[in-house]
Order: sequence, then C-alpha cells, then structure tokens
Amino acid sequence: MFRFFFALLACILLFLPAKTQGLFESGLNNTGKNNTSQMILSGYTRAAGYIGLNKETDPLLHSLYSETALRMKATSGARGQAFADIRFRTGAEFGKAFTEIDVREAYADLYLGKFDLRAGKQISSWGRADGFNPTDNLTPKNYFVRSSDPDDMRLGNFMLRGRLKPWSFLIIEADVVPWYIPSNYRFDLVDMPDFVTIESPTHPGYIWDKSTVAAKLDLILSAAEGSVSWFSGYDPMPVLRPGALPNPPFTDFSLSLYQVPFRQQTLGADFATIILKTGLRGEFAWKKPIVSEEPDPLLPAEEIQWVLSLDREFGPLRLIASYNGKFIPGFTPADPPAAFDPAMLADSSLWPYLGPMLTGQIGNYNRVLFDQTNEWSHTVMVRPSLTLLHETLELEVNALYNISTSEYLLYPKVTWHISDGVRAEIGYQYYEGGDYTRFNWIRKVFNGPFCEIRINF
Amino acid sequence: MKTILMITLLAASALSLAAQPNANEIMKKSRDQAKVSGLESRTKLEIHDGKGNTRVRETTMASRTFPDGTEKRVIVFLAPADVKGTSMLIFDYDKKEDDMWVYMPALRKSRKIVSSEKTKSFMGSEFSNSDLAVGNIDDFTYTLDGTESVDQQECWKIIMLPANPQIATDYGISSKVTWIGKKDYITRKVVFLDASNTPFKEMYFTGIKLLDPATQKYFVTHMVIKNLKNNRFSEMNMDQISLNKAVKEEFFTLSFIEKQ
Repeated sequence: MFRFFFALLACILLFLPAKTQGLFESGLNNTGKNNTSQMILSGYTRAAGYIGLNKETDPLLHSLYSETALRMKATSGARGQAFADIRFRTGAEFGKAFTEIDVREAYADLYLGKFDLRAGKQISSWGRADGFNPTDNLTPKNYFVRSSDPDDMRLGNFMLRGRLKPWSFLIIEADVVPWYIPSNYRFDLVDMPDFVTIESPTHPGYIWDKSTVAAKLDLILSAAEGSVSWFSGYDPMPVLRPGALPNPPFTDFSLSLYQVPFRQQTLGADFATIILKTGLRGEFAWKKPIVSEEPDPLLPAEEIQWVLSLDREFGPLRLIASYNGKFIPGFTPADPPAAFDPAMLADSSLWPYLGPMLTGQIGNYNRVLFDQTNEWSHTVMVRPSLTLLHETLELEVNALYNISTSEYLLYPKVTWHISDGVRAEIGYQYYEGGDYTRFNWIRKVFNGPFCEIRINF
Repeated sequence: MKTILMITLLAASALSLAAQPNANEIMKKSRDQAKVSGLESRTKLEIHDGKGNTRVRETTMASRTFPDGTEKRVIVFLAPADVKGTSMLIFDYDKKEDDMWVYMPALRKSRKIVSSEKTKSFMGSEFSNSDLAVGNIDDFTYTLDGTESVDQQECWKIIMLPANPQIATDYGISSKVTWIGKKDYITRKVVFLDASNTPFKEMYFTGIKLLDPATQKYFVTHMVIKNLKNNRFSEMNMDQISLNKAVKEEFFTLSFIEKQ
C-alpha cells in the first residue's frame, strides 16, 4: 500500500509544473541561484557521556556514545520537498554496547496550493503549552534516550498528514497512522521482582482497519491563537499485561509481562497569547480509553488534564513556569503494590486469588506509569535560563515538582557555544521520588552528570 | 532705518526657516523612503568581538507592505549550522505592538513571542532589536540641529529624545542623534547616548543603492554598528537585494515558516 502511495506521489510531483524562484526562495535552497531543484545536506556529530553516581548502580559510566546525524532535504520547485534524518550511533548505553543506524524520519511533502500533504516516517508535535503537552499523542517517545536535546526523545512514525489552509488564519489538519510504533520505556532497567520478565512490546502490525486518526483545527489571530483537536487510536505508551499464569503447583514461579498497546480517544484544545509582555499558553485534554467489553483494570482511567504556562524575558534572563493539573473522574483509591513472595504459593488456598492479585499489582504499576495514583494531581515546572557573553554561554535549570506524589527533578545545564556550530554542554540530572513513583523507578539509571560535545554542519 | 533693517533680518530668517523642512517632516520622509511594497534579500551578519574572532549569521528575508499599512517580514536563518532553519515571522503594525513568531526546528512548532524586547541583542550582535526595526514614529520627539556632512553627503542632523521615560527605558537610551541625507533622505549615521548622555554605540549606513529609478527608492545595503565601550562591532551586509512587489503572500504564514 505504501509502495503504491509513494509511486503515486512521485508521479504527481513529476508532472507538476516547476516554478521559478525569487531571491528569497533560492536563498532557502542556500544557493542564491534561481534553480528549482536542490539538495541540502546538514547534520551534526556529537560525543556524549553520562555518568551514574548512584552507589547501587554498576557500571559507573552508564552511557558513552558517538552519534552522527545526516539530514537531507531535497526540494522540487515549489511543489514538493523530501526530507530524511538518519542517525548513526555507536557506543554503550546503560552499560550495553551497541551500533545502530536509525532512519528517524524520511518523508515526502507535496504542496498543492492551499493543501499540503506529508507522507512517510515523520515526527509530529502538538500542543502550545510549555513542559507538558497532553494533546501531543501522535508521536511515540523514547523516555530513556540519553541526550540533552529534548527533541531526541521523539520517535518517528509512519503517518499521512494533510493540511488545508483555506485562509492564512485557519489550518485544518488530518492525520492517519497506519503503523503502530510504541513509546520506549525501559522496564528492564526498573527494579522488578526476580520472577518477572518484561517482554518486548506486542505489535498490532498494519492496522488499516483500526488506524490511529487525528484532526486539528488551528486558528491564528493577532490577539491570540489556539486549536481544538481530536485523537482516536493507539496511545503511544503501552500498558503492562501479564502473560499466561503457570499451572499449579508453582515451583520456580515466573511471570512474563507484556507491553500491550491500547486505544484511546482524546479531545484537546490549546491557546497562546501575549499579555503584559508575558507569553501565556494553555492546553487541555480529556482522555478516555476505548473499552470494548467490561472495565479493564489494567488500562489507565479516563482523565482530564490541563496546563497553564507563562514565559517572560527580563533582559538576558528568560523564565518559563508551568502548572500541570490532572483529575481522574470516578477515581478508586488503590493501595500501593504489596510485596509478593512466590514462596507464599506453597499455601494452595491462595491459588484461586493469584490471578486477581497479580492483576491488581500490575494495574498499580500501570497507574504509576500513567501518573494516575491520585484523584487530583498537581505538578509545577520552572525553567529559568540566562544567556551571557553575547549569547555564547547559556545557564539553565529545569526544576519540576509533583505536589501530589512529592517526586521532583533538578536538571541544571550549561551550554557553551565555542564557535559557530561548535558547542559543549555539561549538566546534571537528579530525579527523586518515594516508592512506587516514576522518578523512583528511573533515578538509579538517570541520576548523575553528563557532558556532550557537538559539531553542527 | 534700524526698524527696516530689523524687519529685513526677521523676514530673511523666516524665509530661511520656511526653506528647510522641520525635523518631523524629515523623519517621516526618511521612514517613507525605507518603505517598499515588496523586497527580498540575502543578508550576512558578521559579529566581531574586537579580539580578532568573528561569528557569521546568514539569513534570507522577504517583506511586503499590505494595503492596511502592515509590513510583513519573514526571515529564515541559513547559517551557522546550529541555527539553520530557524525562522521568524513579523507583522509590523503602525499603531500597535508587532506580532512575532519564531520557528525553531528542535521545537517543531512555531511559537508566538513577545516583540517588545527592544534592547535585546539581535543574534548576539551589537545590533539591538530596535536598531533593525522601523519603530513607532511617536516614540520620539525630533529637533533639527543643523546640517553636517557624513561620507561627503550633506545631512540633516536630528536630535531624537524619547517621548517619555518608559520609552527611554524600553530603548535603553537617553537620546539618539541621527544624520539623514538631504538629497535622498537615507539615514547615514546614528549615535546612541546612554543615561549619562555619553555616546555608547555608533551605527553607520553605507552601500546605498538606487533600487528603483522610477520611484527613486534608495536602499542601504551595508550597516556597521560599533560598541564604543568594548570595541565589539557588527556588520550587516545585504549581498543580494531585489524589489519584488509580487512577493508571495503565502510566505507570511506560520505554515510557511514551519516548512523550513
């Protein structure tokens, strides 16, 4: 199907009349010439090291890798454009050696006047708020990527995106995702009982009949801008589900946990405006899992999430502050998962309760994963950044505190732009949280300093 | 006899004053001279730190003035590699604060930003945002302080005082002195004075080209600004420039800057 689609796209591009370009457009092709077809190559090479300082963690150096990104952009007059971002990485991540090539994005754009079409592996980013984007559900994320660039968390996905622009102030977008790619959460790095094995995410394959679909309507006015959006399909983050239970007697008890995608509906809205020299942004989302049969205790509950963020500049100081609230309608409190010792299965009277008990336990893990352990939850984020020495030195601190679970993150970072295209960064990530919180899960593998040298070309 | 002489002198003085336009008229004509219906250019900004090190930023820009008087500009950064693809969309209104959006490839979305940081450095250079904008004519009061020659060009010398203390704070100056060519109404030089009335920046405009002989539109293609306190200086050179009344309207949209 995809092959047919790309062939069709190529034919359309081939037969569309090429247009000559003005100085501005030829400048975009970086040639200054009035050519209609150009290819631009850019990218970067970087070396990064992340050091673990947690005494319980071994080895000390968690991740040390080199990466080269090659970005190719080819334009075909004013009618089309192709883009690819290919990453070559080698080194060790979380103590394991790897060498990989990742085609992060590869897509073709077709421009047909007021209608644009983008097809291929691409990254989509929705939501106008800072720090938290509950409407951003199309693109899966790698929550365990070791990079100081937040964009590296995003994973490309096969999508077809259409944008209609009937007027300059209105954009209507429709998206179809026929191929599911899950977000990456390294449960294998999280402390789990010895008898648990985390399996790779299950994959529904091509899902033409159950494609993820989404639509967004953006309104851009001088005083304010905003959007309303709708998403229906597979949430990028899968839930944990137990595999088949072994038959009694439970000698050498073991349990496989599968990462299984689930479908969800999201209604969203966002806005951005400027008031009293301050940027004010907001975002809202109502999410409801699609349950075909009886209530599923392993799925996240319906939730309502809202975000309000401010940003303001005071000379070289820029301050971004954000508040994220969440409410779970019909919330039922649950005790934190109790310690489960397979030895207790020697008592055969417990066997009938084993299934429900494990479902409850795993359901609790899922609640932690989807930040649904409280009926109401409130998180605040503050990010002051200071630009000094004629914009060659940037000091930044990202501080986040979840008032409801007492988790927090402190993430200071210093970036030195040594010369054009050359920069060095050092920073420190410190996550902390009580038992059965996400930050407690990840603190052992994330906490510590890092450094990175990067050359853009 | 004395009375006749006095009347003659007064009449001559009045005729002399009537012959030369007042400062407000000069400023208005100078601003009108800078206005074009459509323009495209490629610009190189060189930032010199005064110690022999230079950083270079390259942009391509398109602007168009719309019938309601709004000038829309789109600027796309071409170099260096770490800012390549960053784009700005500016709607410059006569009567209200500008609208400004920035698109950064790493964010993957355009972001509406506050446009009122007039003193903020433009890309780490000695140019501030206000140095590169036309600005609101009512932000200053203007006084003609005679004529002087700059680059062998006879110029009006005009003292510009902020209209109120808040504007002085916004612009980070106590006053400006501007030299405007008598022949072409092109600004040749600006000196910026700080709170103690000491000059701290000087800006020179050269490479003046006649872009449109029909309308006698001249354009500055080279600007140099010097920081008198730390010897840093920055140069902006429009190496390619063309008038284009038919600059595409689609350039001045968020969809367009998000494509770059």
